[in-house]
Amino acid sequence: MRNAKIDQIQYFSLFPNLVFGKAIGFTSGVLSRQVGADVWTSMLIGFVIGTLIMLFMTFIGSRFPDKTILQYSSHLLGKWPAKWIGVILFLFFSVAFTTSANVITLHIKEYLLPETPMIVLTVSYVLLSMYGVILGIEVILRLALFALIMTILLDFLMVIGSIAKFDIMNLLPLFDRGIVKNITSSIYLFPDLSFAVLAVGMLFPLLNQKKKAYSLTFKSMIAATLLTVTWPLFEIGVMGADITKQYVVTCMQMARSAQLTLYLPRYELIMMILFVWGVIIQSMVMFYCAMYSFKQTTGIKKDWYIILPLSLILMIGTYLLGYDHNRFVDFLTTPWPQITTSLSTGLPVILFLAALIRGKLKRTDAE
Amino acid sequence: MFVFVMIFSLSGCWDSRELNDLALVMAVGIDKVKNTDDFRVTVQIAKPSGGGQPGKGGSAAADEPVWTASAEGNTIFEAIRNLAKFSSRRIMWAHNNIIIIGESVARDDITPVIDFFTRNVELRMRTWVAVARGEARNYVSAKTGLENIPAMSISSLFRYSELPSESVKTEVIDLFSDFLSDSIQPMVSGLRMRERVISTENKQEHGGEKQVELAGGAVFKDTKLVGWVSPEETRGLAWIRNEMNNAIITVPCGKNKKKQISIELRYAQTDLISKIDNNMPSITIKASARGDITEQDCLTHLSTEQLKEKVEQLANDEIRNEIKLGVKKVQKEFKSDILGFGRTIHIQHREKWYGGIKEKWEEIFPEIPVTVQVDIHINKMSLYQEPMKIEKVESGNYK
Repeated sequence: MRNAKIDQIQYFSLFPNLVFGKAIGFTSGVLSRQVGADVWTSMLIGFVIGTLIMLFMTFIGSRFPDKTILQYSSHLLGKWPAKWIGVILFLFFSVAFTTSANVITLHIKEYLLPETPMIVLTVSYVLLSMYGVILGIEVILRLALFALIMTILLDFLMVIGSIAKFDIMNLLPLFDRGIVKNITSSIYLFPDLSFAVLAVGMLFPLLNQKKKAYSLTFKSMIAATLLTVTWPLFEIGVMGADITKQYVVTCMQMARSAQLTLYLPRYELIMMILFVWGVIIQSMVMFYCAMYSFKQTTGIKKDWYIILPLSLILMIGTYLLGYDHNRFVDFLTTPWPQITTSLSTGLPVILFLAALIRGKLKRTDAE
Repeated sequence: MFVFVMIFSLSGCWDSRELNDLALVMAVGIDKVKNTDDFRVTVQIAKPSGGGQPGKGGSAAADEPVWTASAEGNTIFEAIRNLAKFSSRRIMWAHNNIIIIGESVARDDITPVIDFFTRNVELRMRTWVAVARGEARNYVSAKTGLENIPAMSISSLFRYSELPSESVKTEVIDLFSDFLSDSIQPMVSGLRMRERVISTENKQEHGGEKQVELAGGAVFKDTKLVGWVSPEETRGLAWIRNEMNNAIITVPCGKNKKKQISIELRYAQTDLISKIDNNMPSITIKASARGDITEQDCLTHLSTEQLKEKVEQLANDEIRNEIKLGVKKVQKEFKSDILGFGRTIHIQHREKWYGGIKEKWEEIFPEIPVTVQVDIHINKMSLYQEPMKIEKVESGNYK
């Protein structure tokens, strides 16, 4: 990773991919059970907060342009607190990987290959992600641009395939459960936002044009917001809140409910082909960050010594979490959003305060 | 090594299903078995036409294009499993066109039907749903319409039902949504049998078989069918539910009621406006549309503008009456809010809806005062500048 560099377009492509995959299906399902038809407004609020946190994280990263979050944690907080942060981030990225991996395994298991054993899907997916990690972060991020194009196509196809059945009445009344409920429920988006927030901490040193980091982060988050919020907007507009909250994989149900299915009965298969790329990027980046945070925490030199046992751990974790989809959804409702919200907002604040106290907030070359 | 592992793990052999192993369901009907709680599932399955002998034009052409079968069970799923006992192929639902709910099931409880067909991933949420007057199996097995596969004919009824507008178009997703909602009740398309009404000298040639007709609607309250609305009443309800887009209406030409003027309506739009005074809601229905005069059976001495004005007035009255007829039926007789009045109040007066109206909605709904305002605008009178034979009227030769 030390020699790897990512250009602006790769950096821009990264965040929509990190946020999109789980948010359009599982998160909208969880959110609709909390706020009914206001999934999209609550998600929009979450994105506004998330973008501010992303910019805040970029600000902290730009103070230490050549260091990962673990390295500047060590610089700001001392060696042992940084080790603890390393362990926490390793656990976060590992669990984040399992949630991301289960987005794919559950899509495939429940809608496309119901008789294929879950363990086969899990092992295959972890091996595929491992392959990406072995190839390296540059390869993953090059693929991110392609995945972003696939995601844009996916959104476009979903909109034209279902707009005929879009009923604006389904979105009304706005803020049905109250604005406060909308804001508090936006924490259910943080499992997705935290992928991006904490990945910035790990990947920021790779960006070759750090002077444009704020603008890139902001534009990337706007793209992520538009691409993602379109889904709950249409899920509610087409299916209504009552149906949206019934299903686990809401985006697949949306594809199943599109007007286009009258003419293309296996429409969801096409949607799935476009969808997987973004999620694979999400999973590979989480795997990579888990591996790299463990490496920096322990000081192990060889990646292979970490990748192989980590793959096994991730296979077991993914299988245990995804085997029962009710358990998975329960985990996505409590405690995962609460943990990720605390971590992705708390850690930047702690690091900012430490930098402030130690006088490390002066302008850097990155600006 | 990696590619080798992936080839075996991702080939999907576990789920392979060859087309020649599948029975593609085209229509399904669900009934209750008389005097029991069991379900009877009747399926119409497209028959493969691969049995023909090469060089002899294919014997498949002479075959029936569909195979229809029934089976019974304690649950719908069990009935389908029992169907598999004598079906040579595995039942596949992905291409099903219509779900027909028998009246016995609808009157008892539609929950099992909704549950089964929304849970099944093979089924499209855009499949049509209808309730049959009588037993669903008669409709599934009926040879109806112009298509080789009768189910295709029935599903076409939904696609092209707009002009008569005498039924609603219900898809699984609509039924499911209304079923789950706490501010609107389900209304489902109704089916009935009818004669083809032509010469019956040769029954084989001239429609001896009864045909399936889309007519009226089935009104539900919660999970049960509470009654039927006639095609005429359904037109009024379609206005309120904003399901009217294009329609043809006729109005009397003058004093002679036998002479009629036909109007083709387009861009129909209905707005529901609610008001709440002393916790008692009232609803104003505002319907509007643009229309063209497409047929005029009578001669008139009126100028084009005068005729337009008169026809607009008559159309307004006609539609107002249709709407009132529909409202009266569901509000007073069925007491079931298929009209979405509750939904309107929820949207327009959210705080009052949650502040007591929602809980008492069942008692409040039948008592709500309803005002109907209709505004039809006649655009053109087809190709004519003046009404036909106007000079005949003006010369005094018209009797």
